[in-house]
Amino acid sequence: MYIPDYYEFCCRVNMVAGHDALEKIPDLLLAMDAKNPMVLTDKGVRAAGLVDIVLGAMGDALAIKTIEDGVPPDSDLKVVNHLAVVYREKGCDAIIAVGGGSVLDTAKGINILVSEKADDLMEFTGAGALKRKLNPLIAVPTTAGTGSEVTSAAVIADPENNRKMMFGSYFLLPDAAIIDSRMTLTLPPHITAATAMDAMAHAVEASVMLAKNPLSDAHAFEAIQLICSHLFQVIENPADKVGRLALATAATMAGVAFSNAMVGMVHALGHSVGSVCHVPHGTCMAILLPYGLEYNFHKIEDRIAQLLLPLAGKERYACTPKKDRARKAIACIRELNQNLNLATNAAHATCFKEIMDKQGTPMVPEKKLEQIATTALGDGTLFFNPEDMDFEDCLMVLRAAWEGTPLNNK
Amino acid sequence: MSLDDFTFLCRTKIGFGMNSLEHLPFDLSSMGSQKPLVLLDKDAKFGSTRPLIRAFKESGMTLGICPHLPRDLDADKEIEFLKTFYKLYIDKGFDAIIALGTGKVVDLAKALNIAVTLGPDALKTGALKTGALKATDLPRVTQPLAPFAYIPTGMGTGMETDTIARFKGKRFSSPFLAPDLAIIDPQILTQDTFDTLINAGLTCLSVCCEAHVLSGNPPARAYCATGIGLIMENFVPLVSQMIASQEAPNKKAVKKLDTKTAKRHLARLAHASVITGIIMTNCRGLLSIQLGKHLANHCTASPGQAMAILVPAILDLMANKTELGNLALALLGPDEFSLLPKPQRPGAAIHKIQSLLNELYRICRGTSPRTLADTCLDKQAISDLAQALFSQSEISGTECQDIDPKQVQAILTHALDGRSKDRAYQNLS
Repeated sequence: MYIPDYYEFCCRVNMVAGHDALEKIPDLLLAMDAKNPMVLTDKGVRAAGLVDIVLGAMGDALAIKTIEDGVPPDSDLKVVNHLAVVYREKGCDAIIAVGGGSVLDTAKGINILVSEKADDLMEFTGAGALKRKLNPLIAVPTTAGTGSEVTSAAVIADPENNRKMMFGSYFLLPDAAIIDSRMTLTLPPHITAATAMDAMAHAVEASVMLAKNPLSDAHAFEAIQLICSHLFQVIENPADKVGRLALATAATMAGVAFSNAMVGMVHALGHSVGSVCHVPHGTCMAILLPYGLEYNFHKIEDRIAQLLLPLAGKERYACTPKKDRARKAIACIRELNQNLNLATNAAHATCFKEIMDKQGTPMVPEKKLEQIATTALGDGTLFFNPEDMDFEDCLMVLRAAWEGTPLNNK
Repeated sequence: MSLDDFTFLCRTKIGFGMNSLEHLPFDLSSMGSQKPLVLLDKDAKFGSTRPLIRAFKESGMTLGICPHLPRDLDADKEIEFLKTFYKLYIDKGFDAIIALGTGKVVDLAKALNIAVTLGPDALKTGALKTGALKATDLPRVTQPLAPFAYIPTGMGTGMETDTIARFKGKRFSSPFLAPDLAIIDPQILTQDTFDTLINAGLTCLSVCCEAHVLSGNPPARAYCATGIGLIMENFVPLVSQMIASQEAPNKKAVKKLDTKTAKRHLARLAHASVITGIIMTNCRGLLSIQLGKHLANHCTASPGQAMAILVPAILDLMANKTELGNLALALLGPDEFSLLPKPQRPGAAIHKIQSLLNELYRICRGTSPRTLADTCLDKQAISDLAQALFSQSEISGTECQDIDPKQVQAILTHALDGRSKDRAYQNLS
């Protein structure tokens, strides 16, 4: 068991999982003396009928003061300020955030303003600015991928001043994460694949990064095992409630793992591909994950070898000679991507050159790789990567991931 | 891998490693505290607070240190101490609590936290939940208590990080009773007494093993796997080292040589006990706890020894083979596990726990029991004992698996000499 000289581990979110977990929201809020929540979501989630499911499940035990669905795809300071005013005017005392990362970040921003009775979010940027518990916040994730329901950070954009505001505090953690199979039942196969691979990337990177520890490892391994055991069953049968719950649980556990052990170059490069070419995050993660392991291979072969157990299962692990386990683990991730490509009629891409927009235009033109590499160098997640990266390194990895050819470690 | 509905909550942030105490002032101040009060264990010597004082030296915070608790802390003295500490806390304007030690001091710190945050009447009027507990029960405390840090000086039994406080024979339960911080720093660890260590180690192993197999709770399983790994790598080596140290002709030399290793083992075991408390909170009604603590009143084993003797029997009788096979991975580690053919894995898990008990029996010169037969219980007593345990324990009204007195009898029969479940049931018929 790898135990670093010093580490911290924390996840104070109450995970409530099940096929009827949404029904427990009223009791959770009432136990915190809150009964007038704001329901926060985005238009896509609302149009998909997920808010109706949440409202139906909660019954009439709570006096829902307002349902706000104006959260944009990237959380925005103006929206946060506006919704904080709405929260106060309507007399809300809690937030139920139904959605993905942007909805959660917006909810965290609103919660800072209303709990601290403040008007300016800038006062609370950075780490450790919050000193006390905020108002009740319940997170209902709808994608089984981001893990943002268990992270203690929030990013809110301030387009007017061309900046992104970062917030970090354990007080930002939601009081509860509701993991309910009904929230992801309608996700189409290719999105199910991409979000599951997003969670997979969180878990895999967390278990090989410099800040890993035994508890983050245990969460990561459990998450990987849940994904590998259930992903293809769910793709084949999207109504598989048990499988949906397993994938959602895995995403949350992977979120716990990476928020304690951090992520590295896969995320640095993935964020950049996303911001330059607008490729969905999960797709970037799936494509880049094997490359991240190959690039760091010489420094963390032992750690990669251990991944074979949750990735391939006990029998294949037992049959694989020790010296081959790390390579086999990377091969397993490629195999997973390949099988997802087949299972989704090629909607799940295996390399960047395969990704097309709705008009059939390539989303990641080769000429943009240099711009992506430059952007990646400014990403904070590179700090935790076992091996250093410069521009040439980033470009080398991106070119290989664009072509779909393995990295040549020699 | 089974996946049922589950809930999981761990409010405790864990800090582990040499000099982790130095992070404590920052952690407390980030919760708004500037003046923490330290409660000391009965075994905490004044010197043991030195690293703690050093950690706060340049923090700008004020640290208050209470006199240490006496060894014989009965209910009356408990109230006396609580009143003194309460007065001190309120009069001097303290704003956080640090419990240094294991066991009773942590319970007292939790009770003090209730009193200083909600008023002393909360301890009298039952404002908090008491009695039998269910995970589905909702906490009655709707506001966080004062910031509370726990610093173990040895291996606890897990109760320290549980969400329960025991005071004046009552039990209080709330998620807010769990420490906000658990700081495991080798420099503050003092070697546990032999009996305390055996009891704590076996309690933690039993809880982690049973919850790993029977809870169906993925986050709990992750914590259990970590706890089991820590115990399997450090428990027997530390016990062996303590025995060698006691028996060595030149004791000083042995102690000096092994202090660093011993502290490393003890830190990891203290970590396992922190994890165990988190598991206890999230997996209520574990049979090993329910039966083990009462069984200890009927035999010569400590509660931890009783639990460890029972747990192979409980798992053999209650668990399915797949989950038991998964436990073998946690107990043996991936290298040893990968050598086992699939059908042998469930048996290997049971065998590993029993082997650990056998090994303890050997290195403790026969003073640590392997089976119930080693605890002065005989076959004739089993039937009555099963009935007594069934009624004494809190099996009914908790989240224990459905179990009847007959099954309790089968568990005891199995544990009497560690025989297989088939023979245990045969014996019943």
